[in-house]
Amino acid sequence: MNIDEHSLNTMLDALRTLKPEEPSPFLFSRIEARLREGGTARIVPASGIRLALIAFALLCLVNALIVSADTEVKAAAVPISRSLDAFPQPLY
Amino acid sequence: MSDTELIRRVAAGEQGALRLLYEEFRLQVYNVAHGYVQDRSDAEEITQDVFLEIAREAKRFRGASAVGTWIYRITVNKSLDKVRYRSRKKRFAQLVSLFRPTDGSLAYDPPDTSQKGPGADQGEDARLLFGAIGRLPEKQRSAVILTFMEDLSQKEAAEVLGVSPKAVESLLQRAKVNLRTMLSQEFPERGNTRPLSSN
Repeated sequence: MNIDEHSLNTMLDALRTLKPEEPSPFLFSRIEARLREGGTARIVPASGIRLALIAFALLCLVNALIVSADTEVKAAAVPISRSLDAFPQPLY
Repeated sequence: MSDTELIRRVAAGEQGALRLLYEEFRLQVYNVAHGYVQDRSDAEEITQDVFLEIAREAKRFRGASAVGTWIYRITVNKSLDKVRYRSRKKRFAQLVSLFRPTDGSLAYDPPDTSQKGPGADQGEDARLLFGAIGRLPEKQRSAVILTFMEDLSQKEAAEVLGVSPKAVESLLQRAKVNLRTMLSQEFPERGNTRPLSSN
């Protein structure tokens, strides 16, 4: 069947008179708890930031040293392998 | 104390100001959210998100609109985010189920719309009406929830939605056409429709 406009308007108008529902009485406590969590997570002391930067710089330095040492070892390894004739050239 | 003064105190981090604001607006926020999601726990989650956003963004409130309008706007946005998240989750679960043999378990747990909420006491008619409102396109749904459930004027609803009052009128007209079509399919066997009881 078709619902006429008057019936629909009556149904929609009845929505205006519905009694509002109450949320849980503990809801505000949960909001406060989440606010506290959010608050502590956002505060980072300046010393912490400096420490993180120093640690990152040290990490970069150590990484650069390892890379350069590795390159030197590889560079030294080539003449040794050739001198040992570890990879002989084919005779043809 | 005016609402603007209350927001200023929330922005200053004054103890108790957020609670006062919550006491004043909790019913509006919760009931608008419930109008969108039709689920008690989801509506409470949205209410939490709304008041957290108010606490964090109070400093940026410049008073260009009324505090109530600003809070309604945050509520509508958070509710729509939740609705979109739920439909994404549902689509993903459907996609996953295509590649997985069914073991009887549901990858997506649909919200229980039979839970108590505004209109729950009005029985089958209200359940069908809320179900149909939930299937309307986002803007039409927002217009219906704000004007009929929250009893805002078209001008106030227009401010919340950031459109003109004419646009709200047009959204409501289209929503009514869609609701009539949907409800006509839901009530095929009835000779007439009973209006929702108002108590």
